[in-house]
Amino acid sequence: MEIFFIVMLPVYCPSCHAQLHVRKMQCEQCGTEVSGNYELPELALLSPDEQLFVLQFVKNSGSLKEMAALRRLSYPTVRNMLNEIILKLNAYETK
Amino acid sequence: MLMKRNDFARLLLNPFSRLAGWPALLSGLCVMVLTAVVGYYAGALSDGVLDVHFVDDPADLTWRKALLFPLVSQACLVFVCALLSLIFTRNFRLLDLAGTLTFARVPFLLSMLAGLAVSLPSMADIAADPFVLFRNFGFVLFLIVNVIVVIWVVVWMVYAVRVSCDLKSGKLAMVLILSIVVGEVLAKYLLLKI
Repeated sequence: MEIFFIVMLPVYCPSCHAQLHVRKMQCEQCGTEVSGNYELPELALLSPDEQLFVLQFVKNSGSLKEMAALRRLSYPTVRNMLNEIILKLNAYETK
Repeated sequence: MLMKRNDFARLLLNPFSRLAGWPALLSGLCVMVLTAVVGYYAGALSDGVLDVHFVDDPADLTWRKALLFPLVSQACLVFVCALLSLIFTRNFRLLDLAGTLTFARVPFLLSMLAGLAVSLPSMADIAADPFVLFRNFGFVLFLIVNVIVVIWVVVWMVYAVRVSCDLKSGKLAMVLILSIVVGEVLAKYLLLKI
């Protein structure tokens, strides 16, 4: 049996739970490094499942009906999931 | 297998994560008609938002009453619940609310089926000794099933409003309690007029 480990981008400090920033990026081809203090995009702050939801939602042309069929959930359940994500994104914006 | 069992248990608690809209409304209405038919033969009637009971005189129970009373009660509940939900949110479809609330009545079928096992003593016997009812196995079974079913229906109603209108905690409790109370009063008033 194969076990897959999903490497997730950490977005919150494991010590104090503050939002993490990006300090360093590296080109995998030539090794050039860029340092700075970059904020993570708002979508990266969502949980992996929420990010997958947003991705599927965009790919399905923003159709809740198709999302409901894809996820085998009822229409209002999918709409409530979207509402939760909108609330979270609005909260990130006001922070 | 364990996952499937968990899924089934979750669906028993909240079927509306998967079912809403037209499928919920149509299947709920079909089961309501079936419940009314079983109730007719059991001599029981659902003439309110949350109640199932035996009629005093089985001759009074007509097909019209058996079929129309639950429908009127359900329409009252949906109407009041939709109005109250509008206070907090406009982001819901009436079809989802009507469908999920109608499907929430499905467990009443079990009450009516349990009612088939009851052979009630005559009113004269009950008047002479009211405890005769509690020595009647069928009636005690009906009571136990009915208590479980009413709790089950209330739980499904909670999830129906929660899923359909995205209401939570205090708002959800307020909308549901007021809907049940006002819906019951409105239903009884309209049923007296019919």
